[in-house]
Amino acid sequence: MRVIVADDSALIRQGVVRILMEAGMEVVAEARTADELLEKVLELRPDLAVVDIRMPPAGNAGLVAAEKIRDSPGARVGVLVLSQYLEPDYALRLLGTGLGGVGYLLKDRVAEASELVEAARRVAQGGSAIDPAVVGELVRARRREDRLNRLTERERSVLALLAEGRSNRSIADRLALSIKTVEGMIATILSKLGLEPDPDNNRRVLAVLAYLDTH
Amino acid sequence: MATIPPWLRRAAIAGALAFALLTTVVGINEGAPVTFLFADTGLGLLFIVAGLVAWERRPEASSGPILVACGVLWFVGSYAPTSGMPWSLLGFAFERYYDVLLALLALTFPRTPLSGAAKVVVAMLAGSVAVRTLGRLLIDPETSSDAWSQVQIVASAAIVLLALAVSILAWRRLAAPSPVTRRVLRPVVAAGVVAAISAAYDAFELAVGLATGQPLFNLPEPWHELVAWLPFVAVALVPLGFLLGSLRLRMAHGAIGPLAVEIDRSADPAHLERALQHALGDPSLRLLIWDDERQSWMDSRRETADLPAETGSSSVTVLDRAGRPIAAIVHEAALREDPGLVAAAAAVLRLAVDNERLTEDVRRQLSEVRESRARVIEVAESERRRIERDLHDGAQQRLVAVAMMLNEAVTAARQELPHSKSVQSLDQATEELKSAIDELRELARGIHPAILAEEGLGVAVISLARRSSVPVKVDVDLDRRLPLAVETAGYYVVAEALTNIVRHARARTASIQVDVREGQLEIEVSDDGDGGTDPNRGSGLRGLADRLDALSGRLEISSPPTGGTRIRAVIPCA
Repeated sequence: MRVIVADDSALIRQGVVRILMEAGMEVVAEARTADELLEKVLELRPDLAVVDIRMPPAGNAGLVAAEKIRDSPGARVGVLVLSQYLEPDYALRLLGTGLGGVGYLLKDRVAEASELVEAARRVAQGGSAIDPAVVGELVRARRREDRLNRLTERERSVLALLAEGRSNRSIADRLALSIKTVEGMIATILSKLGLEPDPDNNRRVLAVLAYLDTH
Repeated sequence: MATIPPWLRRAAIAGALAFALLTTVVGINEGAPVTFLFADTGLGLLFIVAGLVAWERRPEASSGPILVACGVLWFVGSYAPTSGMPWSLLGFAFERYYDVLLALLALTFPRTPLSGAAKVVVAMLAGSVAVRTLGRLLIDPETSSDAWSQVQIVASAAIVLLALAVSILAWRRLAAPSPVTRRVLRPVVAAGVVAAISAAYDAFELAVGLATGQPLFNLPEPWHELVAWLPFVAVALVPLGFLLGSLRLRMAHGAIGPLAVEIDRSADPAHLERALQHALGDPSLRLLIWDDERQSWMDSRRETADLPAETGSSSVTVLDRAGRPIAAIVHEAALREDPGLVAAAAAVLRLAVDNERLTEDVRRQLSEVRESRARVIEVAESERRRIERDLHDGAQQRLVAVAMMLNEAVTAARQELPHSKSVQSLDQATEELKSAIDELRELARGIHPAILAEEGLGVAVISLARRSSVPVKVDVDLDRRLPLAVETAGYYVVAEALTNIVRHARARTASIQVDVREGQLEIEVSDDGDGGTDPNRGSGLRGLADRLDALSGRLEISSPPTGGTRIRAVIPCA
């Protein structure tokens, strides 16, 4: 798996590179600015770009570059944005139309190598990864929603993991349930929330997040 | 002419009055007819009173002393018909000297210097009268009546011509160009013309009578008697004219009240100038206002002007405040005849100009304070933004890097010493560090939300609404970024309103509307909660109102006890 890591802070960049390399990924290039990142992505067509949201030249240039990479034609390059901000807006913006291959993680996750690696793999394979804290932010604000309150505690946990972009397999592992149970629960949750069942994982993530955002 | 000191003035008037009293007592003792006593004393006193008025009002002008002297000379003549010698002789000799002074008054009043021709005429008139006096003193009419008659005829003939010359010169003065001068001068000069013609007639009649031995007209009584009184009346017109002129000026004071009303209506210099012209009856009047900033005089069209020098026909009255000029009135010199009038108008003007200046000062200071308040907020907000950026790019990055290293250390330690106490401590430290990073992120967001700085008010408001536990309907219509201070103020309005809704309102839903209309950011946050919010209760809304005020915006809160709260903020952002 070929990866480009972009961050203007050398300390963080090197840390991320180390984690990814230890997980067996190949870091083909590093970038310090958004322009440099776009250039190298175009040149090297990696499987994944791990991008700091704030980068030179200004403000959230990393996010803007990530959107460009997501929308660029040709072979798919996954983008995992590392962000200092617990802002669902940015995550939703990145998800775009729900085609997958994108992720939004809080920067602190780099302190937990396994989470970073797992999200990176998911995104590189065309899945979605949304930071649990961001999902939590959306869910917390909706606690007074009647429909959400109709879910059981367990179902709410499944919903959160679903929103993070995890596969049924991964959810089952996390909650120590069988895949069959998880699949059943997901069907119940979607029906309780009035959402169409969708076999496509990425579209399902978007639908759930959009539900949490707008209701 | 040097001003006569007040004590001397009072002494002169007291002396004149004493002389009048003495003359009257002598007249009574001599058995003069009551009508004569009445008219003679009355006329003399009229001169002294008029002189007193003139002298009091314009101590520096010659009118006062001239009128008083006329009165005294009048009373000298009063000794002529008495039998006491030598007073009777002196009375005859000096009786018509007041004519010379009246001529002087008619030609110079109020302050016009004598022209060359007038000087000659007055000097010759004085000479003619003096010739008659000398004749009367040196020639005894009893013994050499012919010689005396010759002197009388020659002197009278000269007086006729000179008196006519005086009346013509005085008449010409009545055509003075300025209305104020005419108003002040007309009664006195007109009376002077009448008196001069009358004196000419009197002298003519005497000369003709002496030369032919026949009276000029043979009038039956009572006409003869009445004509004999005419010169008397003509002379009396002069002090009466003077008093009438004074009265007319006095009446001009009545215009000061309306002037105050007029000036109160508008402080526009052109308007003030017109009001002053009207009140003082001087269409040539000009108003100059001192401009402190430019350090120059401005005319009523607000153009730079020079303060004109005083001339014979125009005067300048400067108004100052603590030695610093504030305004100047350029007016006809004749208005000086009544300094009280100009002073009253100036006082009213001073109030208006002062008031205008104070208002202007207060207004300027207010706008300066408002601007500086807006600047302070702007600076404070960009400072907060800088701190937020520094926290994210500095402290937070470092903490994340530390967390990363710590994580590596934990991983290594776990492999080498799986059951060591230090692994537990490291785990604890990692948890603490995560909390610290979370707290730092919240702190930075509280200082200045990055989403507001990066994405603008619209996205930031949506983000706020999303975090609210009460469902919020958001309607944002913004097509551009607004100034930092405006966006921040708008953000805080929404944040505070949502906090209040969640805390106090027990609302089921809320809605936010944000748009820019006519250069103003308009924000409305409403809910279906309890209502009854007191805007002065919490410091939150109060602080918001202050912040908006500093940006020349306003905050409206409508929260009836029947339910529902609506907070509306309007901030200019053009």
